[in-house]
Amino acid sequence: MLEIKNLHAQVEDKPILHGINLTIGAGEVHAVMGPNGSGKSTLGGVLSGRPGYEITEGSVRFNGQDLLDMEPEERAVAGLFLGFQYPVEIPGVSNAYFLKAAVNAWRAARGEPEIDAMGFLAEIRQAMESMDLPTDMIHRGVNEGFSGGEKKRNEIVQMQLLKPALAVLDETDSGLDIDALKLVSNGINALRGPDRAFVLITHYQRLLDYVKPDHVHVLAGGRIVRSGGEDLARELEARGYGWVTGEAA
Amino acid sequence: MSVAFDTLENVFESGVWPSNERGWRAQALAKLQHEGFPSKRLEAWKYTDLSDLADTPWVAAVVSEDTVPEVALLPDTDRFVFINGIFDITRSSIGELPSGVEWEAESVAPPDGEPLHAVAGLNVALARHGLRLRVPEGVSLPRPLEVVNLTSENTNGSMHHLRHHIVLEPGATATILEQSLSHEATALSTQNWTLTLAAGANLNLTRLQDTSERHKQVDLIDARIDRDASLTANLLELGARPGRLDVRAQLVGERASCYVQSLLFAGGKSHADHQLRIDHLAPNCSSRTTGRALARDRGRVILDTLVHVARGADGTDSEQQLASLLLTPGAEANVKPELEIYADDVACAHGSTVGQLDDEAEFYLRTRGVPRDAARALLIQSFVRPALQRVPKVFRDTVRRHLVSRLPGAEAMEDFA
Repeated sequence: MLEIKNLHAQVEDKPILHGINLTIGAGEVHAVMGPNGSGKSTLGGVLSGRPGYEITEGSVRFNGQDLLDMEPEERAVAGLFLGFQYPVEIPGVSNAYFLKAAVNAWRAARGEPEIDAMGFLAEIRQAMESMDLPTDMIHRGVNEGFSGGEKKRNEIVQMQLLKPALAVLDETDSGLDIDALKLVSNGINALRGPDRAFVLITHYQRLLDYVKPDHVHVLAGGRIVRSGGEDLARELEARGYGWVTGEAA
Repeated sequence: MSVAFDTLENVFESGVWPSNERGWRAQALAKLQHEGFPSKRLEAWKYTDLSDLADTPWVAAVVSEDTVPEVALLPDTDRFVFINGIFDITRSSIGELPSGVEWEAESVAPPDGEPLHAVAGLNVALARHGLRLRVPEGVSLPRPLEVVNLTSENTNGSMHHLRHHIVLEPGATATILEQSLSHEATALSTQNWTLTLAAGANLNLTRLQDTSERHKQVDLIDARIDRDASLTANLLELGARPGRLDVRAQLVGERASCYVQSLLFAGGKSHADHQLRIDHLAPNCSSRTTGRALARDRGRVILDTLVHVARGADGTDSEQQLASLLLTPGAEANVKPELEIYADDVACAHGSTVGQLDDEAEFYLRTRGVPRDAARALLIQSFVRPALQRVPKVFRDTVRRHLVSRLPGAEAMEDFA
């Protein structure tokens, strides 16, 4: 589904990624872990097309398409979802309107007609309830006045409604209390399936107690320095990143 | 003496004025000739220099079978249409109004005090028609009133003027939508509104100025708001070069209130300038000023607001929130909220921001599949929304649609609206 080859990227002439290789198959859940400044969020940004990153080498193919050649909105409707580490507030654009615009963009890309507004509203309400968000938020501005945890849960609501082929969740677990972490994990697990893949970018192992990854990768200094199964995450938690990053140095 | 003043005198002399009006008209004209058109040497005209108006030998616009701009009319209103400053009964439609409501559209009231500035004096001297309306005590108008101010196609080098006079007796209520539209002629139009709200009266006035980039429009709203009365003014300035509006709202009775929403958009080479002044002259009055100014291309927007709290106007509650947005390099915005306070016990807030579209918000929308142009259009709409919140529901959609059609990304929004 996703094939990253020798990916090098820089921000304002400062190289961050130094040759990432990663292949993600349908149905798989990959965790990308690493210390602060290792390039985790840069990887998420590069995959979603965030402006400001320069790709200096390498390639990324997503379901056979050259991902790096696509605009962010093209990547989105091709089935790529980015869960933001810091979701943005957009006062004046209601959640309902925003979600409808997004879903209709995805449907248009697949040649489907616009979604039925009433039915969709019910679907939004259900998704919000499943994330324990008050449903009156539907008519409030996007993320407007939401707490940090509510914003993260709202990311999962969007993911549930858009049903992407590949979801890249950038530190979706940070800032969540244990109850919210369980809700978010349930949301992710509910979407797991043979046609869908996840990249969980995270600093801590605790999300992985609830969402069992198939593969765990450790990113350090802009490279994947070690890959393994879910045991790797537990070992990292016990021994700290110094254990692998030191090894890499 | 300049070109204009010679011809203004001719225009005045050739006008057929009722004998009892000649005096105050001549006086206003003499004052204008003495002071000249305002230049940028005056603080209030710093960004909108009208001294070049004196270079044009303006003639009075005539009414003919000329083409007039298309205008989106509302269903179920009482409509007063003026073409080139003259009431057009055939295009107007006025239904039955509650007993005691008086109106007249083919004359003007004598001025009430000195004109607020030179161009307002020109209006006093030369305006022949306008809406004169009196709503008696306790009466609510059953339908919105539409005032349509059209400049016809072949009006190059001509000017026309309208003067409206609205009086709401105690407890009366009215809703008015004014639309000013023009063709691509270089014409000058002025429009003065005098609003008198007696105790407990309620007026919602929405103005939609969308004339062409060659049109010059210099308007004025002068309001007196008595105790417990409330004025809401939604002021959309979307065209003209310049499109200038001065507002003076005087809160003269206790607990009077005033809500002014200003929305300026200048694209191309348009130039929009609002000068808003709210005078708190009595205790316990409240006012809210919300301004949204957008410019793109070589457009320029100016928004100066002033809340003046007089001695003794204790318990004043006022807030000014202004924001501007520059959409392209080369556009310009000058936004300034001001406070003058001479009372002790007041709560007055003011703030302003100048900004560009939020890149992170744009990216967020794009990662959800919304194309770039539509994302930008959506953010622009979210920016202007606060300025529309007090437009009456009955025509908010009409006004919003008109606005959206003029904002960047209108085409991109069609799929999402």
